[in-house]
Amino acid sequence: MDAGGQLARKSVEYAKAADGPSILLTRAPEGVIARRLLRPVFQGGPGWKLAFLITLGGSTVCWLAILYTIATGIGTWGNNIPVAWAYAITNFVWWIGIGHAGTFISAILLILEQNWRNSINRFAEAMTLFAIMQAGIFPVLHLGRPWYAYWIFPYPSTMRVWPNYRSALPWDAAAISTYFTVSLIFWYLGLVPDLAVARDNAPTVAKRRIYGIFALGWRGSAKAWRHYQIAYLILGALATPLVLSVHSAVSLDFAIAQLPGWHSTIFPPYFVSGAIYSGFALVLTLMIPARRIFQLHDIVTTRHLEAMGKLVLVTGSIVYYTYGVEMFIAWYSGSEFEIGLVEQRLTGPYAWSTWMVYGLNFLCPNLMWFKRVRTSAVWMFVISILINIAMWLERFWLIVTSLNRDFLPSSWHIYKPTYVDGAIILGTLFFFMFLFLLFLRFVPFIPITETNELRHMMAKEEARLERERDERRTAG
Amino acid sequence: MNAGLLAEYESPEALVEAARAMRRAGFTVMDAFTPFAIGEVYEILEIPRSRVPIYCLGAGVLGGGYAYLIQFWMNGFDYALNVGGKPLGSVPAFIPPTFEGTVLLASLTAFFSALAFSGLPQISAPVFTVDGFDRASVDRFFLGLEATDPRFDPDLAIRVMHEAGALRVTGVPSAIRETLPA
Amino acid sequence: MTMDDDRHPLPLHVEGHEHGHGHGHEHEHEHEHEHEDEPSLPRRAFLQLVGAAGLAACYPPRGEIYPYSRQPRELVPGKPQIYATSWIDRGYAAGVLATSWSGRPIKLDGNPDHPATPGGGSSARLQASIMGLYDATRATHMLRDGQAAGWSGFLRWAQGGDPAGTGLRFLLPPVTSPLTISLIERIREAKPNAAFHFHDPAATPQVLDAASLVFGQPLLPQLHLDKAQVIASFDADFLMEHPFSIRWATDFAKNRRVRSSTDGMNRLYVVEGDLTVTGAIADHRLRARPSQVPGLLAELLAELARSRARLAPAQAGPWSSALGPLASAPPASPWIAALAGDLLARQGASVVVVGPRQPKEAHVLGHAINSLLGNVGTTIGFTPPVIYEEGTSSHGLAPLAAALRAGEVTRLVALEVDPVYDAPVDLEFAEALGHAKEVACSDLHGNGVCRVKASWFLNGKHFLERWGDARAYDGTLSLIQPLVRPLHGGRSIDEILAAFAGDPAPDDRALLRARWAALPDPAWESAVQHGFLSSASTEEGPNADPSVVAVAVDAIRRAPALAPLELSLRPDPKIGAGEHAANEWLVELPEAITRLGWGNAALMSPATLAARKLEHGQVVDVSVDGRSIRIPALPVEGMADDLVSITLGWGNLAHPTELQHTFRSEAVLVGVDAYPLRTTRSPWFAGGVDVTGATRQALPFAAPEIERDALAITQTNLEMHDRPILLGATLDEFRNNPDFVKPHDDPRPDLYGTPWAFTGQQWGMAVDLTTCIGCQACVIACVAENNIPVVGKVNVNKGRIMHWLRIDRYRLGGTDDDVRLMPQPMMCQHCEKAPCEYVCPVYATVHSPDGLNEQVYNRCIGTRFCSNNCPYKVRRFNFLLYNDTHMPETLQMSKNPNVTVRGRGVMEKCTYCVQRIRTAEIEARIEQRHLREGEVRTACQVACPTNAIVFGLLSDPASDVFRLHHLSRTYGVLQHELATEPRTRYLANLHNPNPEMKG
Repeated sequence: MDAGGQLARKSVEYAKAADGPSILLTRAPEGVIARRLLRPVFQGGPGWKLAFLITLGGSTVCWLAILYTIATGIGTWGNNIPVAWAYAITNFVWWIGIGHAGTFISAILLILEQNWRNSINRFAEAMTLFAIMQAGIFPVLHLGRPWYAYWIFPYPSTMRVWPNYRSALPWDAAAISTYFTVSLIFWYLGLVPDLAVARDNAPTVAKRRIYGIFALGWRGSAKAWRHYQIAYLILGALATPLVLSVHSAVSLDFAIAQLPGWHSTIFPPYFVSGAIYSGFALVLTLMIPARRIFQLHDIVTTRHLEAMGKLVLVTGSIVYYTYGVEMFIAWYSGSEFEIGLVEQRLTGPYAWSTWMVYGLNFLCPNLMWFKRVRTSAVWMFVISILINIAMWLERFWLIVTSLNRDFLPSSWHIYKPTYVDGAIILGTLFFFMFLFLLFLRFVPFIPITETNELRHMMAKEEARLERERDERRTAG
Repeated sequence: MNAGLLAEYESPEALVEAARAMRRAGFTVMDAFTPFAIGEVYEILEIPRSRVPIYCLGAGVLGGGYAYLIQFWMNGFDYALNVGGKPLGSVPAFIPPTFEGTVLLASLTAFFSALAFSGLPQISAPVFTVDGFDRASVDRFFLGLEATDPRFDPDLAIRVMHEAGALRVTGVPSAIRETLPA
Repeated sequence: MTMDDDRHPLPLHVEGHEHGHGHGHEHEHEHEHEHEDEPSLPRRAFLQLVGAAGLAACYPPRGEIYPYSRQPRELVPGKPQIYATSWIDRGYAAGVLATSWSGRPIKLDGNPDHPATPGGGSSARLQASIMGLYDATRATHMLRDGQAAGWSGFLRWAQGGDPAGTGLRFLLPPVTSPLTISLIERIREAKPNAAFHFHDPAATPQVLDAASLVFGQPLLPQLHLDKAQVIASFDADFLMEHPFSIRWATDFAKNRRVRSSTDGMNRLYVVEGDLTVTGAIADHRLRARPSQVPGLLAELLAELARSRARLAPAQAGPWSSALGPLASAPPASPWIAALAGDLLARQGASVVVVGPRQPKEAHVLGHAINSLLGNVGTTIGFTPPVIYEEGTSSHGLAPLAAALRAGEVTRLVALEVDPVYDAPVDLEFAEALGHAKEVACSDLHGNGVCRVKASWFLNGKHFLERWGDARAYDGTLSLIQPLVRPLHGGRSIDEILAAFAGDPAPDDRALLRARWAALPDPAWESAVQHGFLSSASTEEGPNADPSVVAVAVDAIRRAPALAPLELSLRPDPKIGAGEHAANEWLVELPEAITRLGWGNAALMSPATLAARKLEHGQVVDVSVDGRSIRIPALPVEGMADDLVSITLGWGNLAHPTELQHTFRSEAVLVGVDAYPLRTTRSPWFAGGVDVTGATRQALPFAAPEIERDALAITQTNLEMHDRPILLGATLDEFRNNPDFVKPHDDPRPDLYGTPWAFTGQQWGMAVDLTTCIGCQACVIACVAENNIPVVGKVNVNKGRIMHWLRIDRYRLGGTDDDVRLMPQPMMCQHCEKAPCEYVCPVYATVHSPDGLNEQVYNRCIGTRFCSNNCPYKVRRFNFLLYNDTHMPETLQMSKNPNVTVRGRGVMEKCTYCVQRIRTAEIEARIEQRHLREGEVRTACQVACPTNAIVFGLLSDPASDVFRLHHLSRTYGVLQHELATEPRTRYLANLHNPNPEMKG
């Protein structure tokens, strides 16, 4: 551990000294790296306990608010007619969106062979899982009669009634349950070899047994590796279109309605890019502090920050491009309802949200043009927080501004959230952090195997270069 | 009695060399145990291509087909009601669940078939009793020779393994085969 | 019937028959004695107590009552009976048909044969009055000095006292009932010194005074709007705020029912300060403060005088002397001139209506103008007043207050009046009441009188619980028969008066029969069956005395102008002068113009509000010579400037209403009491009013979480934003282009075509936006028929009102001076391509083969996607358990057994009264025939006084609805934009402006 500590400190210097960021800076022997990455797993600390208690408390608030809602009815929220959807659906879309970055990193970057993903993918995948768990709360909770939520699944009921697949909500149910299942097995499959590492380095017999069970007896036999690699690749290949489909399905919840502001064909790409955009923001929000706390500057390097910064720039640009398109189409369609919607978004009772969304979502990505910003952990952290706020607001804005003033001016009505609304969204944040802390504590959150593999490859590469240089020297 | 041999190497390169040497010496029934996948070993040890992909393909087609047909039957026949004046077989509306069905079944197949083909889960295996094997997941690279090898000759094998730079060679208490997929 | 039995409100036995009832005595006595020595219980506790005594069970009233359509012998369980009875509004009767399910009346409609409710039309108040029966806040027992007491004790008390009746005073509401009158006379004979007073806070004696001046005798004007082509209303909301307004609305609509481009249409001019239901739909409207109205009438008269030549010779002659001097008056404003021209063009077919609140002089001029135009006898007739002793000194509180102060009153008997709440403030009646030695009062609720001082409180009887009679505004003698035995016992005015007249055991049925003993039984039975005895009293065509005109004009010209701001007080269009304030249906109903529910506000024109730097909904202090009230301000476009208008009847301590579904529910007053601003001298209008902003915290009825906008307004936006929602045109435009709605009605091409062909029986609805006056009778009818819950102020404020049918209001054309705020009934449009249906994940809303958009409550999981996707936003969601499973049993009794009572978390909406459709279908199947045209009528259709709503079989080309659907000016809302193919289609609004009128 001590050695690890020194090495950690040294690795910070590496990061500072490094000319041109690399994706891995340490060349310590595999054993050392493994022990170092396992350290947080095999011994927590007072800091962790404190954080754990705080998030536990926060989650309890969430659960109380949810219990109260279920007992009393969603009249405890601010929802009304016409604004029948508000916070719950906003939170749902936001959390689902958060999830996307995880799958994006682990799947899409995998098949693109972006091996810089290796050091951060587990982090992102875990984030995905927990985000979907948060998101999953809301479609059920927002129902008038949540205890009948299962009616949305096609089970053979005695009444011979079935769900209606012309509605987008069963699509959601299918997409999200699939998404969670696939993300889970993808995450677990990637975890198996590391669990084996944990098993083999466990300090106590009990831990050895437990990790042994979860490692399924992995031995790294060549035959197993061969199946494993192809299966992992296939899962990646399947998860790639899946992640695109999930937020597309979510976006269809709105797009299949004929409500001005929802009824738009651009929604699927718009939602997906928005999702990845906010997802990367949250990865940054979580990764930057973790990197600092666990002194991982040599494993999660500025190179990673930059790469994510660039992705934020791309996806963010797609998002605010969409804002432009929406306005253009509204004008181009000539529909008084579409035009009316744009007008009231810019000047109506929720204009403040419009301007905040437009402002932040334009500013944040475009700051990424500057290398100074991309490479600075502090900047990235601040921006990532802003993006998360902006994207939550965007979903709120999208839902409420479209609903609160629709076709008949007679039914226009303002929406005001209640404190129960607030308690639930804050509560889910705590609950998310709570799950995340458990993850940090009990699972190697940086893939050890892949890091070692990476280290080995690079070491080999460097050795080769070294040899060539010698040969040239001897030749010359 | 020794049912097989396990040689420990320092680096993947050493392992690969040893594997080649063993092949030259005519041994065939072998397996490697490494912290991370090492491509070369597959060819040397003639490990066949995985059947996982073809299974996934089948599963995907099955899942998709089932998802589409069940929707068509539910909304078009078994519970055929007029909703919003839409046609009974609202084909475009059935696409998203169809896609999800495809992905779901394919992914589950990928996961479970991969485990099954690798003979997992198997929580305890004789190799684990070999001391030092706990480094097989971190920084040691093992080459295993089956006792069932037609040309099994412990002395020769041990010599070749050592020549290839084995740190040490240990006997495995019972047949490794049982620990390996057939 | 022994007294003991009568005293106990609730027999414990199910049998409603005399013997079975008597057999229940022993038990009753036990309960009796429990009560005797008990201290007075809080209302709720007592209700629970009697509830335990089996309140849910219902009993037919004692004795025989006669069903309207069938004899009770064929009483079939599960089939409703319909009885005719009468509803009393400030003394005047209106015919009612009450639908009763196994002894539970649950629905009221107008009696088609009754002159006050021709064709069965009704008003929101009439529809809602059923709620008064089941009102959970009703007084449930008799009190003697705050202790539960019995009837026999009161009888002893009533028959005691000074034999000559010295010091005995009665205070009654306006009385038209021959029975009551006979009792009054009996008492006067028996106790010569007893005195009677009559009190109606909304009384307008000046109407009769004017008639006496002009015609030499007190007469009531009777309008015949069906004969009128030009109607000029001067500050008169005759379509809404009048005892006879149902009848007048029906007649008014007859000349506005345009079907083809050749049909004609009447023309309505309105001069008013407030924006009223009548004014909002006027063809021409002139904003004028009430105090300016008499001047304008004088102007009109002068204008007519100038064009004397154009008068019919019959009129011109007698009036010339009177008109001479007037002709010299300065020329009239163009508006009045144009009106005069139109009136002259329609002599004998026009009518000028003067608002009852207007001073005597204004009415004199009104009569003069009508006589001058030869309208008397054609469009307007006169009948003798029907209210007992109206216009005499026994009406009004001043004499009584004086007597009280002078200590002349030893016993005051105040029956179903609450002067403590609604007396003019300068009388300080509460204080005066203190001087009375003993006070006995009766009412449906424990009212102000019994709160201040009551030796005796007798809980009253709802009109559905009592026998009686009354006269309609036109004199029609109507009969009241009970539909249910009194839920809480109670005593009618007649029984109480009879007690003073010396009856040993007064029983209102016996009294009534005795009063009409002259009638043989068959005649009597048929009268009770049809709900009325006589027809209207014959009209007189009295001759006006021209000489009074000059005097009136002179008085008007010399009358000092009221200093701005001017205050206008008027009875609330929903709860009247306060008599309906306990009725939660009416309280929650959004007011027709301001869309304001759960309270009242100080209404001002936007300019007036802005001039004082006040905001929408800001709380202000309104003060008149030292007296002031605190009330939120609300701008109303189209109101006269420098005018503050407040409606009476709110903020009555007698009816604290619980705020429901807040986290802590507390009893708070609803609305603000405006009576403190009202004096004997100026009961309706006052000048020199001061309006200043107040600090918000001090809002008297602010609920914890509503601080800023305490106003529960359901429609916050009256502009249409150029959207094709409420289409309209002038009559001429329509004649030139009969198809003017087509561009908005033909749908855009559809990719799928129509996969579902609708064959067989098909239902549809047509709404005529020209005849709809926006009175909202249909809204309450829908509430009553479909068990729609009251959600309370907080929820209305949040936008969760549950009304399936709402009346939207949109500004249609018009300028600030001449606002036309047209009503549009908006309910589920039953679209053939319903956007709500395909988004429901569980098939909870689907389409029936006969074209109904069906909502399956049991299947609904409450995603609310359907509401989001409904372009008409007519779907309503149970955000909370509005139909509380622990609701008072009386409320449970009020529910329609044919309609599901919806629980928490499900969506609901207009069903086209599917329960009525299916019932009719079943009957038709039993009788093996097809449904007949008009056999199924929705609740809103039946309630509509102007027949603006027509429902029926679209599959039958002979049906009205088919005809209306295929009129050239019929359109589906948003049909062109969204191609939803709505089954509810609207006849575009038409108005008929005067071509001479500029602007």
